[in-house]
Amino acid sequence: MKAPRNPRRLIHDPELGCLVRAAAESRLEPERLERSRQEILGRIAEAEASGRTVRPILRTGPRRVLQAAVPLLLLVCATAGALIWLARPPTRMRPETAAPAAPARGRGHPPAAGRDVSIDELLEIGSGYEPPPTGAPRPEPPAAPGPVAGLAPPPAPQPAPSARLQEQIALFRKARRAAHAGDLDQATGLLDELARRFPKSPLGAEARVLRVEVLYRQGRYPQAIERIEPLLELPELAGKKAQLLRLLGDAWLQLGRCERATDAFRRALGLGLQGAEARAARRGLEQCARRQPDR
Amino acid sequence: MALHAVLDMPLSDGLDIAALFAEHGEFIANVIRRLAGPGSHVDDLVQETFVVAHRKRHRFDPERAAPRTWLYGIAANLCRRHHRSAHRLARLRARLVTEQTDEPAPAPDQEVLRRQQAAVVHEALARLPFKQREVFSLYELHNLDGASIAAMLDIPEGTVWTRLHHARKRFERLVRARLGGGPA
Repeated sequence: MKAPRNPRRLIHDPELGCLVRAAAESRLEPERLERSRQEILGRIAEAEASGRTVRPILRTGPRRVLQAAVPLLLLVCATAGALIWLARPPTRMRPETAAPAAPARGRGHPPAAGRDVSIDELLEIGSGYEPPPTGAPRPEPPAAPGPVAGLAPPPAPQPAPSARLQEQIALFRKARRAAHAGDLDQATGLLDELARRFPKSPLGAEARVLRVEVLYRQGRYPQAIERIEPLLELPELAGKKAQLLRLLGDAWLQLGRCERATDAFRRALGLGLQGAEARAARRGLEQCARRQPDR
Repeated sequence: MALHAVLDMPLSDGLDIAALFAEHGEFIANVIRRLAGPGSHVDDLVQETFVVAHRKRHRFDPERAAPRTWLYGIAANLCRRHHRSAHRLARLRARLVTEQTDEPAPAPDQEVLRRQQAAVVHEALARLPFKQREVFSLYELHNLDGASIAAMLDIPEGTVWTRLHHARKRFERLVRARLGGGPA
Protein backbone atom coordinates (compact mmCIF):
# COMPACT_ATOMS: atom_id res chain seq x y z
CA MET A 1 0.00 0.00 0.00
CA LYS A 2 1.36 3.41 -0.90
CA ALA A 3 2.34 5.53 2.08
CA PRO A 4 0.23 8.64 2.62
CA ARG A 5 1.62 12.05 1.72
CA ASN A 6 2.82 13.90 4.78
CA PRO A 7 1.07 11.70 7.31
CA ARG A 8 -0.39 13.09 10.46
CA ARG A 9 2.34 14.25 12.76
CA LEU A 10 2.89 12.79 16.18
CA ILE A 11 2.59 16.22 17.68
CA HIS A 12 -1.17 15.91 17.10
CA ASP A 13 -1.33 12.51 18.76
CA PRO A 14 -3.40 12.73 21.95
CA GLU A 15 -1.05 10.46 23.84
CA LEU A 16 2.44 11.30 22.60
CA GLY A 17 1.74 14.79 21.30
CA CYS A 18 2.66 16.58 24.51
CA LEU A 19 6.03 14.82 24.64
CA VAL A 20 6.84 15.58 21.03
CA ARG A 21 5.68 19.15 21.41
CA ALA A 22 7.91 19.64 24.44
CA ALA A 23 10.87 18.28 22.51
CA ALA A 24 10.05 20.33 19.41
CA GLU A 25 9.75 23.50 21.40
CA SER A 26 12.94 22.96 23.32
CA ARG A 27 15.62 25.13 21.77
CA LEU A 28 19.25 25.72 22.33
CA GLU A 29 19.64 28.70 24.58
CA PRO A 30 20.32 31.96 22.68
CA GLU A 31 23.35 32.63 24.85
CA ARG A 32 24.93 29.37 23.78
CA LEU A 33 24.18 30.15 20.16
CA GLU A 34 25.80 33.53 20.52
CA ARG A 35 28.87 31.98 22.15
CA SER A 36 29.07 29.52 19.28
CA ARG A 37 28.81 32.33 16.75
CA GLN A 38 31.63 34.24 18.32
CA GLU A 39 33.72 31.12 18.59
CA ILE A 40 33.15 30.31 14.92
CA LEU A 41 34.08 33.78 13.75
CA GLY A 42 37.15 33.75 15.97
CA ARG A 43 38.34 30.41 14.62
CA ILE A 44 37.78 31.48 11.04
CA ALA A 45 39.62 34.75 11.55
CA GLU A 46 42.47 32.93 13.22
CA ALA A 47 42.67 30.37 10.43
CA GLU A 48 42.65 33.03 7.73
CA ALA A 49 45.29 35.03 9.55
CA SER A 50 47.56 32.01 9.69
CA GLY A 51 46.72 31.18 6.06
CA ARG A 52 45.86 27.58 6.84
CA THR A 53 42.49 27.43 5.14
CA VAL A 54 42.87 29.73 2.22
CA ARG A 55 41.80 27.35 -0.47
CA PRO A 56 41.39 23.62 -0.61
CA ILE A 57 43.73 21.82 -2.92
CA LEU A 58 41.06 19.52 -4.35
CA ARG A 59 38.54 21.96 -5.64
CA THR A 60 36.72 19.34 -7.63
CA GLY A 61 36.07 17.11 -4.66
CA PRO A 62 37.25 13.61 -3.76
CA ARG A 63 34.88 11.86 -6.14
CA ARG A 64 36.34 13.61 -9.17
CA VAL A 65 39.84 12.96 -7.92
CA LEU A 66 39.05 9.26 -7.47
CA GLN A 67 37.51 9.11 -10.91
CA ALA A 68 40.73 10.40 -12.35
CA ALA A 69 43.07 8.48 -10.07
CA VAL A 70 41.63 4.99 -10.44
CA PRO A 71 42.16 4.68 -14.21
CA LEU A 72 45.61 6.19 -13.80
CA LEU A 73 46.44 3.64 -11.13
CA LEU A 74 45.16 0.81 -13.30
CA LEU A 75 47.25 2.06 -16.21
CA VAL A 76 50.37 2.15 -14.02
CA CYS A 77 49.66 -1.38 -12.77
CA ALA A 78 49.12 -2.68 -16.31
CA THR A 79 52.33 -1.07 -17.52
CA ALA A 80 54.29 -2.48 -14.61
CA GLY A 81 52.80 -5.92 -15.25
CA ALA A 82 53.72 -5.77 -18.92
CA LEU A 83 57.26 -4.73 -18.11
CA ILE A 84 57.63 -7.57 -15.61
CA TRP A 85 56.22 -9.99 -18.17
CA LEU A 86 58.64 -8.84 -20.83
CA ALA A 87 61.59 -8.94 -18.47
CA ARG A 88 60.90 -12.46 -17.23
CA PRO A 89 63.56 -15.12 -17.95
CA PRO A 90 62.71 -17.45 -20.85
CA THR A 91 61.14 -20.74 -19.85
CA ARG A 92 63.34 -23.70 -20.71
CA MET A 93 61.72 -27.05 -21.38
CA ARG A 94 63.51 -30.26 -20.85
CA PRO A 95 63.42 -31.99 -24.21
CA GLU A 96 62.95 -35.45 -22.67
CA THR A 97 59.84 -34.44 -20.82
CA ALA A 98 58.41 -31.97 -23.29
CA ALA A 99 56.09 -32.99 -26.04
CA PRO A 100 57.93 -33.40 -29.32
CA ALA A 101 58.00 -29.95 -30.34
CA ALA A 102 58.44 -26.92 -32.24
CA PRO A 103 58.74 -24.91 -35.30
CA ALA A 104 62.26 -24.95 -36.56
CA ARG A 105 63.18 -21.30 -36.67
CA GLY A 106 66.15 -22.06 -38.81
CA ARG A 107 69.18 -24.19 -38.49
CA GLY A 108 70.84 -24.11 -35.16
CA HIS A 109 67.69 -23.48 -33.11
CA PRO A 110 66.29 -26.12 -30.81
CA PRO A 111 62.60 -26.95 -31.24
CA ALA A 112 60.09 -25.05 -29.15
CA ALA A 113 57.14 -26.57 -27.39
CA GLY A 114 53.69 -26.76 -28.90
CA ARG A 115 54.12 -28.48 -32.28
CA ASP A 116 54.84 -32.02 -33.42
CA VAL A 117 58.08 -32.27 -35.24
CA SER A 118 59.20 -34.97 -37.55
CA ILE A 119 62.35 -36.94 -37.09
CA ASP A 120 63.79 -35.35 -40.16
CA GLU A 121 63.22 -31.91 -38.74
CA LEU A 122 64.75 -32.96 -35.47
CA LEU A 123 67.76 -34.37 -37.21
CA GLU A 124 68.11 -31.25 -39.29
CA ILE A 125 67.88 -29.15 -36.18
CA GLY A 126 70.35 -31.33 -34.37
CA SER A 127 72.84 -31.26 -37.19
CA GLY A 128 72.98 -27.48 -37.16
CA TYR A 129 72.56 -26.91 -33.48
CA GLU A 130 75.66 -26.17 -31.60
CA PRO A 131 75.87 -25.86 -27.86
CA PRO A 132 77.12 -22.57 -26.48
CA PRO A 133 80.86 -22.13 -26.84
CA THR A 134 82.94 -23.45 -24.02
CA GLY A 135 84.00 -19.95 -23.18
CA ALA A 136 80.40 -18.93 -22.57
CA PRO A 137 79.63 -17.75 -19.07
CA ARG A 138 77.07 -20.51 -18.42
CA PRO A 139 78.78 -23.27 -16.42
CA GLU A 140 78.53 -26.70 -18.00
CA PRO A 141 78.22 -29.77 -15.77
CA PRO A 142 81.08 -32.25 -15.91
CA ALA A 143 80.84 -34.90 -18.59
CA ALA A 144 79.41 -38.21 -17.50
CA PRO A 145 82.00 -40.97 -17.27
CA GLY A 146 81.72 -43.74 -19.82
CA PRO A 147 80.20 -47.06 -18.87
CA VAL A 148 82.54 -49.55 -17.27
CA ALA A 149 82.36 -53.11 -18.55
CA GLY A 150 80.40 -55.30 -16.19
CA LEU A 151 79.20 -52.45 -14.07
CA ALA A 152 76.16 -50.29 -14.36
CA PRO A 153 77.11 -46.71 -15.12
CA PRO A 154 77.08 -44.61 -11.96
CA PRO A 155 74.47 -41.89 -11.72
CA ALA A 156 76.02 -38.80 -13.15
CA PRO A 157 74.95 -35.18 -13.10
CA GLN A 158 72.48 -34.49 -15.86
CA PRO A 159 73.88 -32.47 -18.74
CA ALA A 160 72.15 -29.43 -20.11
CA PRO A 161 68.97 -30.14 -22.09
CA SER A 162 70.42 -28.98 -25.40
CA ALA A 163 73.45 -31.24 -24.98
CA ARG A 164 71.23 -34.16 -24.08
CA LEU A 165 69.07 -33.65 -27.15
CA GLN A 166 72.14 -33.52 -29.33
CA GLU A 167 73.39 -36.72 -27.78
CA GLN A 168 70.08 -38.46 -28.44
CA ILE A 169 70.11 -37.32 -32.04
CA ALA A 170 73.66 -38.53 -32.48
CA LEU A 171 72.80 -41.93 -31.09
CA PHE A 172 69.76 -42.25 -33.31
CA ARG A 173 71.65 -41.23 -36.43
CA LYS A 174 74.39 -43.73 -35.66
CA ALA A 175 71.79 -46.45 -35.25
CA ARG A 176 70.12 -45.55 -38.50
CA ARG A 177 73.43 -45.46 -40.36
CA ALA A 178 74.31 -48.86 -38.93
CA ALA A 179 70.95 -50.29 -39.98
CA HIS A 180 71.32 -48.95 -43.49
CA ALA A 181 74.85 -50.34 -43.64
CA GLY A 182 73.55 -53.74 -42.65
CA ASP A 183 75.13 -53.79 -39.19
CA LEU A 184 71.89 -54.74 -37.50
CA ASP A 185 73.44 -55.85 -34.22
CA GLN A 186 75.18 -52.51 -33.76
CA ALA A 187 71.97 -50.73 -34.68
CA THR A 188 70.10 -52.75 -32.08
CA GLY A 189 72.74 -51.99 -29.47
CA LEU A 190 72.59 -48.27 -30.20
CA LEU A 191 68.80 -48.30 -30.03
CA ASP A 192 68.98 -50.16 -26.72
CA GLU A 193 71.39 -47.54 -25.40
CA LEU A 194 69.12 -44.74 -26.57
CA ALA A 195 66.11 -46.33 -24.86
CA ARG A 196 68.03 -46.99 -21.67
CA ARG A 197 69.68 -43.60 -21.27
CA PHE A 198 66.80 -41.51 -22.52
CA PRO A 199 63.60 -43.35 -21.75
CA LYS A 200 61.50 -40.25 -22.38
CA SER A 201 63.32 -39.10 -25.46
CA PRO A 202 61.30 -37.26 -28.11
CA LEU A 203 62.99 -39.61 -30.58
CA GLY A 204 61.50 -42.62 -28.78
CA ALA A 205 58.73 -43.28 -31.28
CA GLU A 206 61.09 -42.97 -34.24
CA ALA A 207 63.57 -45.24 -32.52
CA ARG A 208 60.84 -47.85 -32.08
CA VAL A 209 60.06 -47.66 -35.81
CA LEU A 210 63.71 -48.12 -36.64
CA ARG A 211 63.88 -51.05 -34.25
CA VAL A 212 60.93 -52.69 -36.02
CA GLU A 213 62.72 -52.27 -39.35
CA VAL A 214 65.84 -53.80 -37.87
CA LEU A 215 63.88 -56.73 -36.48
CA TYR A 216 62.26 -57.26 -39.84
CA ARG A 217 65.57 -57.17 -41.61
CA GLN A 218 66.96 -59.58 -39.03
CA GLY A 219 64.16 -61.95 -39.95
CA ARG A 220 62.58 -61.75 -36.53
CA TYR A 221 59.09 -61.35 -37.94
CA PRO A 222 57.02 -62.32 -34.89
CA GLN A 223 58.91 -59.79 -32.75
CA ALA A 224 58.53 -57.18 -35.47
CA ILE A 225 54.78 -57.81 -35.69
CA GLU A 226 54.49 -57.70 -31.92
CA ARG A 227 56.17 -54.28 -31.83
CA ILE A 228 54.40 -52.79 -34.84
CA GLU A 229 50.85 -53.21 -33.59
CA PRO A 230 51.19 -50.89 -30.57
CA LEU A 231 52.97 -48.35 -32.76
CA LEU A 232 49.90 -48.09 -34.97
CA GLU A 233 48.01 -46.51 -32.10
CA LEU A 234 50.58 -43.82 -31.31
CA PRO A 235 49.30 -40.39 -32.33
CA GLU A 236 52.80 -39.08 -32.94
CA LEU A 237 53.27 -41.81 -35.59
CA ALA A 238 49.97 -41.18 -37.33
CA GLY A 239 51.86 -39.81 -40.32
CA LYS A 240 53.79 -43.06 -40.62
CA LYS A 241 50.86 -45.38 -40.11
CA ALA A 242 50.66 -46.36 -43.79
CA GLN A 243 54.37 -47.28 -43.89
CA LEU A 244 54.01 -49.26 -40.67
CA LEU A 245 51.04 -51.16 -42.09
CA ARG A 246 53.02 -51.96 -45.21
CA LEU A 247 55.84 -53.30 -43.02
CA LEU A 248 53.29 -55.28 -41.02
CA GLY A 249 51.91 -56.73 -44.22
CA ASP A 250 55.43 -57.73 -45.31
CA ALA A 251 56.03 -59.41 -41.93
CA TRP A 252 52.80 -61.35 -42.10
CA LEU A 253 53.57 -62.30 -45.69
CA GLN A 254 56.97 -63.64 -44.64
CA LEU A 255 55.20 -65.74 -42.01
CA GLY A 256 52.78 -67.04 -44.64
CA ARG A 257 49.73 -65.36 -43.10
CA CYS A 258 48.35 -63.98 -46.32
CA GLU A 259 44.94 -63.04 -45.01
CA ARG A 260 46.54 -60.78 -42.41
CA ALA A 261 49.09 -59.49 -44.86
CA THR A 262 46.38 -58.63 -47.36
CA ASP A 263 44.44 -56.78 -44.74
CA ALA A 264 47.51 -54.77 -43.73
CA PHE A 265 48.43 -53.94 -47.31
CA ARG A 266 44.89 -52.81 -48.12
CA ARG A 267 44.79 -50.60 -45.03
CA ALA A 268 48.16 -49.14 -45.97
CA LEU A 269 47.04 -48.36 -49.51
CA GLY A 270 43.78 -46.97 -48.16
CA LEU A 271 45.76 -44.48 -46.12
CA GLY A 272 47.29 -43.06 -49.27
CA LEU A 273 50.61 -44.87 -49.44
CA GLN A 274 52.65 -43.38 -52.27
CA GLY A 275 55.66 -44.14 -54.42
CA ALA A 276 57.92 -47.10 -53.80
CA GLU A 277 56.07 -47.99 -50.63
CA ALA A 278 52.81 -48.23 -52.57
CA ARG A 279 54.42 -50.35 -55.24
CA ALA A 280 55.83 -52.69 -52.58
CA ALA A 281 52.39 -53.00 -51.00
CA ARG A 282 50.82 -53.87 -54.36
CA ARG A 283 53.50 -56.46 -54.96
CA GLY A 284 52.68 -57.93 -51.58
CA LEU A 285 49.01 -58.06 -52.49
CA GLU A 286 49.87 -59.81 -55.76
CA GLN A 287 51.95 -62.37 -53.91
CA CYS A 288 49.07 -62.98 -51.50
CA ALA A 289 46.71 -63.34 -54.42
CA ARG A 290 48.98 -65.90 -56.05
CA ARG A 291 49.22 -67.86 -52.81
CA GLN A 292 45.46 -67.76 -52.30
CA PRO A 293 44.05 -68.19 -55.79
CA ASP A 294 40.64 -69.17 -54.50
CA ARG A 295 40.18 -65.99 -52.47
CA MET B 1 27.69 22.75 -16.85
CA ALA B 2 27.55 25.62 -14.43
CA LEU B 3 29.17 28.88 -15.41
CA HIS B 4 31.48 28.94 -12.43
CA ALA B 5 32.68 25.47 -13.32
CA VAL B 6 33.45 26.56 -16.86
CA LEU B 7 35.31 29.59 -15.65
CA ASP B 8 36.86 27.56 -12.84
CA MET B 9 35.82 30.33 -10.49
CA PRO B 10 33.83 29.29 -7.46
CA LEU B 11 30.89 31.51 -6.74
CA SER B 12 31.13 30.55 -3.09
CA ASP B 13 34.26 32.59 -2.50
CA GLY B 14 32.08 35.32 -1.09
CA LEU B 15 30.12 32.93 1.17
CA ASP B 16 29.48 34.88 4.35
CA ILE B 17 29.64 32.45 7.25
CA ALA B 18 28.33 35.03 9.69
CA ALA B 19 25.28 35.57 7.53
CA LEU B 20 24.84 31.84 7.13
CA PHE B 21 24.97 31.39 10.86
CA ALA B 22 22.44 34.14 11.41
CA GLU B 23 20.10 32.49 8.91
CA HIS B 24 20.55 28.81 9.72
CA GLY B 25 22.46 28.64 12.99
CA GLU B 26 19.47 27.92 15.17
CA PHE B 27 18.12 25.26 12.85
CA ILE B 28 21.49 23.53 12.62
CA ALA B 29 22.01 23.75 16.38
CA ASN B 30 18.64 22.16 17.08
CA VAL B 31 19.19 19.48 14.47
CA ILE B 32 22.51 18.64 16.05
CA ARG B 33 20.94 18.60 19.46
CA ARG B 34 18.40 16.04 18.30
CA LEU B 35 20.76 13.92 16.29
CA ALA B 36 23.59 13.85 18.79
CA GLY B 37 21.57 14.33 21.97
CA PRO B 38 21.68 17.30 24.30
CA GLY B 39 24.92 18.32 25.95
CA SER B 40 27.83 20.65 25.69
CA HIS B 41 29.11 18.69 22.68
CA VAL B 42 26.26 20.37 20.73
CA ASP B 43 28.17 23.64 20.86
CA ASP B 44 31.30 21.90 19.62
CA LEU B 45 29.44 20.31 16.75
CA VAL B 46 27.70 23.54 15.79
CA GLN B 47 31.00 25.38 15.71
CA GLU B 48 32.65 22.58 13.81
CA THR B 49 29.86 22.58 11.25
CA PHE B 50 30.35 26.22 10.37
CA VAL B 51 34.13 26.03 10.47
CA VAL B 52 34.00 23.06 8.09
CA ALA B 53 31.55 25.01 5.93
CA HIS B 54 34.02 27.87 5.79
CA ARG B 55 36.89 25.52 4.98
CA LYS B 56 34.95 23.79 2.22
CA ARG B 57 33.12 26.83 0.93
CA HIS B 58 34.67 26.34 -2.50
CA ARG B 59 32.78 23.10 -2.87
CA PHE B 60 29.45 24.73 -2.26
CA ASP B 61 27.41 24.81 -5.43
CA PRO B 62 24.24 26.88 -5.03
CA GLU B 63 22.81 25.23 -8.14
CA ARG B 64 22.97 21.81 -6.54
CA ALA B 65 21.76 22.48 -3.02
CA ALA B 66 20.36 25.18 -0.84
CA PRO B 67 22.66 26.49 1.88
CA ARG B 68 20.52 24.88 4.55
CA THR B 69 20.76 21.48 2.86
CA TRP B 70 24.50 21.84 2.46
CA LEU B 71 24.95 22.82 6.08
CA TYR B 72 22.68 20.01 7.18
CA GLY B 73 24.84 17.53 5.26
CA ILE B 74 27.94 18.73 7.07
CA ALA B 75 26.21 18.67 10.45
CA ALA B 76 24.74 15.20 9.89
CA ASN B 77 28.14 13.82 8.91
CA LEU B 78 29.69 15.28 12.02
CA CYS B 79 26.88 13.87 14.17
CA ARG B 80 27.25 10.45 12.56
CA ARG B 81 30.95 10.48 13.25
CA HIS B 82 30.29 11.62 16.78
CA HIS B 83 27.71 8.89 17.26
CA ARG B 84 29.97 6.14 15.94
CA SER B 85 32.79 6.75 18.29
CA ALA B 86 32.41 4.83 21.51
CA HIS B 87 34.94 7.07 23.13
CA ARG B 88 32.99 10.12 22.18
CA LEU B 89 29.85 8.48 23.51
CA ALA B 90 31.51 7.93 26.83
CA ARG B 91 32.49 11.58 26.92
CA LEU B 92 28.97 12.48 25.93
CA ARG B 93 27.59 10.64 28.92
CA ALA B 94 30.05 12.38 31.20
CA ARG B 95 29.10 15.73 29.74
CA LEU B 96 25.43 14.98 30.16
CA VAL B 97 25.97 14.32 33.82
CA THR B 98 27.97 17.52 34.12
CA GLU B 99 25.33 19.45 32.25
CA GLN B 100 22.60 18.13 34.50
CA THR B 101 24.54 19.18 37.57
CA ASP B 102 25.19 22.59 36.04
CA GLU B 103 21.56 23.26 35.38
CA PRO B 104 20.21 26.57 36.57
CA ALA B 105 18.09 26.96 39.65
CA PRO B 106 14.85 24.97 39.77
CA ALA B 107 12.30 26.34 37.38
CA PRO B 108 8.56 26.52 37.95
CA ASP B 109 6.74 23.16 37.85
CA GLN B 110 5.50 23.60 34.29
CA GLU B 111 9.00 24.18 33.01
CA VAL B 112 10.32 21.18 34.92
CA LEU B 113 7.63 18.98 33.42
CA ARG B 114 8.40 20.26 29.93
CA ARG B 115 12.09 19.50 30.35
CA GLN B 116 11.33 16.01 31.59
CA GLN B 117 9.10 15.35 28.60
CA ALA B 118 11.75 16.61 26.21
CA ALA B 119 14.31 14.41 27.95
CA VAL B 120 12.13 11.36 27.37
CA VAL B 121 11.92 12.15 23.68
CA HIS B 122 15.65 12.77 23.40
CA GLU B 123 16.37 9.53 25.19
CA ALA B 124 14.17 7.60 22.78
CA LEU B 125 15.67 9.45 19.83
CA ALA B 126 19.15 8.48 20.91
CA ARG B 127 18.17 4.81 20.67
CA LEU B 128 16.88 5.05 17.11
CA PRO B 129 19.17 4.13 14.22
CA PHE B 130 20.77 7.25 12.81
CA LYS B 131 18.87 7.24 9.52
CA GLN B 132 15.54 6.84 11.28
CA ARG B 133 16.52 9.47 13.81
CA GLU B 134 17.27 11.93 11.03
CA VAL B 135 13.90 11.51 9.38
CA PHE B 136 11.96 11.44 12.63
CA SER B 137 13.67 14.54 13.92
CA LEU B 138 13.19 16.55 10.72
CA TYR B 139 9.57 15.53 10.26
CA GLU B 140 8.23 15.45 13.79
CA LEU B 141 10.36 18.01 15.57
CA HIS B 142 11.38 20.42 12.80
CA ASN B 143 8.05 20.24 10.98
CA LEU B 144 9.58 19.74 7.53
CA ASP B 145 7.56 18.02 4.82
CA GLY B 146 8.53 14.80 3.05
CA ALA B 147 9.76 16.45 -0.15
CA SER B 148 12.06 18.80 1.76
CA ILE B 149 13.48 15.97 3.82
CA ALA B 150 14.04 13.88 0.70
CA ALA B 151 15.90 16.76 -0.93
CA MET B 152 17.90 17.43 2.20
CA LEU B 153 18.94 13.81 2.68
CA ASP B 154 19.23 13.14 -1.06
CA ILE B 155 16.95 10.12 -0.87
CA PRO B 156 13.62 9.26 -2.55
CA GLU B 157 10.52 10.48 -0.79
CA GLY B 158 9.28 6.91 -0.42
CA THR B 159 12.38 6.14 1.57
CA VAL B 160 11.54 9.04 3.86
CA TRP B 161 8.15 7.52 4.63
CA THR B 162 9.58 4.07 5.11
CA ARG B 163 12.15 5.33 7.56
CA LEU B 164 9.56 7.46 9.32
CA HIS B 165 7.23 4.48 9.64
CA HIS B 166 9.88 2.33 11.28
CA ALA B 167 11.13 5.21 13.40
CA ARG B 168 7.67 5.90 14.74
CA LYS B 169 7.04 2.30 15.63
CA ARG B 170 10.29 2.09 17.47
CA PHE B 171 9.88 5.49 19.08
CA GLU B 172 6.43 4.66 20.43
CA ARG B 173 7.66 1.37 21.82
CA LEU B 174 10.61 3.07 23.51
CA VAL B 175 8.54 5.89 24.96
CA ARG B 176 5.87 3.55 26.28
CA ALA B 177 8.52 1.40 27.87
CA ARG B 178 10.14 4.48 29.40
CA LEU B 179 6.84 5.66 30.83
CA GLY B 180 6.10 2.17 32.14
CA GLY B 181 3.43 1.33 29.61
CA GLY B 182 5.07 -1.69 27.97
CA PRO B 183 8.27 -3.55 27.15
CA ALA B 184 11.16 -1.77 25.41
